[in-house]
Amino acid sequence: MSADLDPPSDGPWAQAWKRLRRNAMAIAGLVVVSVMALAATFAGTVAPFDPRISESWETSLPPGARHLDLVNEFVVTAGQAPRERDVPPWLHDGLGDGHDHACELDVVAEEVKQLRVTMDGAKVTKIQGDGARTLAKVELGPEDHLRVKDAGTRIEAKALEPGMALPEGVPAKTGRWVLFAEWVRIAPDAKRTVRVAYGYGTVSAVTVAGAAHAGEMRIRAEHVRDLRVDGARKEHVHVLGTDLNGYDVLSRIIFGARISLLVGLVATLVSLSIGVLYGAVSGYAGGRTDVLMMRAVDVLYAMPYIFLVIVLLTVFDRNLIVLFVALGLVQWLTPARVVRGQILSIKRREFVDAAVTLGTTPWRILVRHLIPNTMGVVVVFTTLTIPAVILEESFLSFIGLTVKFGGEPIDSWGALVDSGRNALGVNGERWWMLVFPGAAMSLTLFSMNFLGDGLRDALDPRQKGRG
Amino acid sequence: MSSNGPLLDLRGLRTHFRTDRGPVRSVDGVDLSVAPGESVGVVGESGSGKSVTMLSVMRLLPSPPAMHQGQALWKGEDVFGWGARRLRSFRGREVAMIFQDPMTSLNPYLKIGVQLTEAVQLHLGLDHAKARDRAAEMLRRVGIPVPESRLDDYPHQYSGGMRQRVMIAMALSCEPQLLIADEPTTALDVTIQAQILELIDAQRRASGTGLVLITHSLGVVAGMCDRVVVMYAGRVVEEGRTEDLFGDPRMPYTVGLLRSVPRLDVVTERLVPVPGTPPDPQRLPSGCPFRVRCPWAEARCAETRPELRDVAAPGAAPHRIACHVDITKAAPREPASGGAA
Amino acid sequence: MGRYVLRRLLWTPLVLLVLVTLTFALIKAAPGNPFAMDRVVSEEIRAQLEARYGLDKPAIVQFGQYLGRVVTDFDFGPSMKFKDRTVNDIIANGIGPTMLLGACAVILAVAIGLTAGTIGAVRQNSVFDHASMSAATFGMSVPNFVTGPVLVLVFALSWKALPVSGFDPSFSLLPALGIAALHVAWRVTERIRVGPAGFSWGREFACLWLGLLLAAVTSVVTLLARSPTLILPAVTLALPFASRIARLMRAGMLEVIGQDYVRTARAKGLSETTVVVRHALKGGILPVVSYLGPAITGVLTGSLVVEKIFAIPGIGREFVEAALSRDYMLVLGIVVLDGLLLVLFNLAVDVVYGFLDPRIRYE
Ligand SMILES: Nc1ncnc2c1ncn2[C@@H]1O[C@H](COP(=O)(O)OP(=O)(O)O)[C@@H](O)[C@H]1O
Ligand SMILES: [Mg+2]
Repeated sequence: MSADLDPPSDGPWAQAWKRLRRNAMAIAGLVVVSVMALAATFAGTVAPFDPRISESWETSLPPGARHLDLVNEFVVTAGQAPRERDVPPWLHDGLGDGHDHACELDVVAEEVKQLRVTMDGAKVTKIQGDGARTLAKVELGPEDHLRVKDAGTRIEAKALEPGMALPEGVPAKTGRWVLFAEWVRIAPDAKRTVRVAYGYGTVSAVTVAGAAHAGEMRIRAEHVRDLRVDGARKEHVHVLGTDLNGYDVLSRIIFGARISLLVGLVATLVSLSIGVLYGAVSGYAGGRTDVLMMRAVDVLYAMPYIFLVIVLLTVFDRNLIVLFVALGLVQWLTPARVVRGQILSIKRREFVDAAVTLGTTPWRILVRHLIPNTMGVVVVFTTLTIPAVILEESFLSFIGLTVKFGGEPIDSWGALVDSGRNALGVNGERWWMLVFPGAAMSLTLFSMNFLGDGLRDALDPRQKGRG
Repeated sequence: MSSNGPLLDLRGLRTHFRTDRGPVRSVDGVDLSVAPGESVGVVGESGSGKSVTMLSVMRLLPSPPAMHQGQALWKGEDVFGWGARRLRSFRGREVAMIFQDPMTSLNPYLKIGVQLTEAVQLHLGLDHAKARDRAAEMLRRVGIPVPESRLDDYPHQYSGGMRQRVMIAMALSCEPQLLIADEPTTALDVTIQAQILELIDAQRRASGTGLVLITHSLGVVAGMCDRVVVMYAGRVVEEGRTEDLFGDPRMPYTVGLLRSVPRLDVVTERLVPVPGTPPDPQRLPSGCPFRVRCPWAEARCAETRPELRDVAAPGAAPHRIACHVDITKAAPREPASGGAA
Repeated sequence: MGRYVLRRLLWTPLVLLVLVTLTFALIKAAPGNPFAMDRVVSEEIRAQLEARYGLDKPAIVQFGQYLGRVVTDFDFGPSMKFKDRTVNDIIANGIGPTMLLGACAVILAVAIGLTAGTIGAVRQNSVFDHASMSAATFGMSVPNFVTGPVLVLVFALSWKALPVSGFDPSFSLLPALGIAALHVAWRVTERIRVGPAGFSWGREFACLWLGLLLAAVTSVVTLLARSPTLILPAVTLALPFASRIARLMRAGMLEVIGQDYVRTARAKGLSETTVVVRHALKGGILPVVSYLGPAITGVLTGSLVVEKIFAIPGIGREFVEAALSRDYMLVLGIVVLDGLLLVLFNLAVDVVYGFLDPRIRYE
């Protein structure tokens, strides 16, 4: 009995799919949306970097910047020709030419994580970071180590002049020095040289560790006993660059998609459930109830909704539940109206009469027979509501009403766009931080809208304009 | 331009629609002529290309998708050779058209008065006041009471029958030489169909206007038309003076049509046609398109398409059919049981 | 027509009342007493609030007092954040820039959208049609908080052709310009006869059209000359609406051009221009008119973003700031005001719709 009363069998859906397949733009939209959804679901594996971990020496890298993870250690003994297998491709030039007491490193790389120069019995006379951004402070650490420490500020060139006062308690003496520079970043336009000059003694080791993403580094050391380079083997590419904090933009977009799509999906389900139920009840009840319920919808329709949502988010804690409720509340009106119309037209059909005569309860008729028949509309509305909700959520994050997702610093697309906007720089030189999240967002909305339009045409070909 | 030549003369008119699924041959070689003042009935099952033929003559089909071939001569000039200006002076002024559905044929956003006056202002050069007088006069002629006050009403304030009257008034207001009425009563209540047809007939007789009346009703044709043209699958299959064609149908399709009408003097709503269905204009069969439904069909009917040929007695008015078979001599097969096609 | 307008008019206070009640209730439902949150409210303001709204009294009384003040004195109360400013002050300062921005955006959107949509429909499948529809589909999908910064990036930061942000308060000529443009258009269309002769709908439309185009052109020119700061915001705000209007107009016109009555008009021998202008436009523009209601909501919403991006001191920015700093009185005031604007605009749109569609008017 209920077999032929059940929701549309394969027939109309298969037909709709056939029609949809002829719509190239809708299919393209479907592909994009699917890719986005997959990437968002498996963000952990798909994203090249963990968007919660940043490397502070990697801030503001332009798109396509390559990043060499220096995982191996290379030791080059001074005075010897470097052995082929030990030397990374960017390490060349003769090491040592017979002079004592001088070590000069030409670091032809944009950044070096650690530069460690170990000297035996040498007295530091001068340390110059030429164009080094953060070579800021030189101090003697415990165990008589000379440290060049990151002070976080940008200094074009800082010299430790001979006789310059060393930090208190540290005698300018001969001994075993370790020149330890962390986060040596060499400005791209400066002469990329870090020069370490010392009075006497021997450099026993130079260690370069960390990132040298330009892929080229030349170290020329004179009478270096050991030149140790933590070498580069693993290469990562920041396809879309990194942001001001060194987070990989692509990874942030992928993880942001997760938030945006999740919010879109859940809020859409919330609103559609409300809308379908409300519309179905209103349409099925008919009469006075129907008029009253639809008047209420009319009144709510006239509200400046987004303002109320903002009030809601201002008043209550900004958590996910409130966000879902707020967004769900905005979107249920249109489906309610449309579903009501559908129900009004279906409820006169024979199978409903049949069910009524069989003594089925109204609720059951509604849930078993009427609502399933509105599924076409519901599918269309789902695809059209998701982008609307995504847009709204992003809008809210953009104006600053960001919602915390379990305390993790993962931003939705709106927040990414906002931070990208703030990071542009006076000449727009850091454009990628804005353009890529914006493009991802636009592309997704674009695709979803196309898919939704295509679905509507496919499910209800009569609505389509003629010719 | 000669006074005794035909007003309208279609020669091998073809109208094909380009669609995604190949061309639709809706009108596939129509020969038809209308003399001044003459009334010609065009009958045929729906889909046989009657409307498309007439819309092609008016050049009202957007092209693409409609592609025309052949000639449609208006007083000897080919309509398809005209530029926009000549075409505009032709439409409405020389030939006017009444459409099937008066509910959708009037602009719902414009007052009836505006819709009536714009053509006379354009074609007859009347000023606004005179045009309004003329519009009221036309409304009175088509039997609308208190026409002056109804000029400022909108179409939705008129009933279906009244709207069709307005359409007739609009069509005749510029005194065209030919009126094309495409199933003017199909969309109307049975009760007012006869009134509207009488109105058309009376008005066109009064002004000596030629008439092409497209209809499903053979009864109407018998009462109103001097000549009848029977169309099938985008072609004219029989054509002759009304009494000849009705008295002595020579094309099997016409025979079937006439047989399906119980009485000729009764206005029937739709005719119950010959068993079987008309062919899909996208996949016309070879040879004679009617052969699959034809009780007289022979082998040659599948081979060549029959051309129109005159079968009238020498000296008599032409009576032409497109059929290989002489049904006065050959015997039909037993009527196919049910509808085999 | 009168009854139709009246019915719409009666609708207005109801919607507003629901809006105020809803907002007020929301604020009241907040954890803690929002009006007495000492975190944000200084003693002075709290005293003011208490005096005016009796914060110790039950919520319903407070609501009544608030409503009373709003209705009788149009007084939205003191701001909870700024000691010396009332909500009315803030709104009075902000409404000008917001309205100006909104007006620019609407004029641009309507002028561009109608023109592109009509040309696209009349020249269906032409290069223009394809280009403008692709652009429109794109423009509809790109959110304005992406468009805005990208426009800034391209025109202000890279190309340096336009200022990045800010607002030039000396500029307030636009509404006058719009009216002047309409007037000029009315005069010009007296000469041009659209269609053969006499009364026609053509003139009204041609006039509106020309007026809009003139207004758009003059506003762009004037904006460039006098207040270039408003160009990027106006374009940003207008873009999605122009796109949507273009698509609606095209679809509406195509729908109408396929109608039997347009065929009737052609069969009369009318020129293509007359057919389009007199017979097709009125029906074709209806979807656009019904969209104007939602569009104005969108413009107000969009102004929140655009004013933030371009640092325009309008009520949109005030609203966002008030929301972020939990200045509830200001939030409430702006919600009510925007609700009022929306309802009034929707009323106007309904009247225009009834004016265009006789079937509604005489219903
Ligand atoms: N624009 C069109 N595109 C494709 N096919 C069309 C078009 N207009 C009409 N046809 C087809 O042309 C055939 C003839 O139509 P028509 O002339 O309206 O028939 P009728 O004789 O009933 O007036 C029909 O099969 C119809 O499907
Ligand atoms: Mg027809």
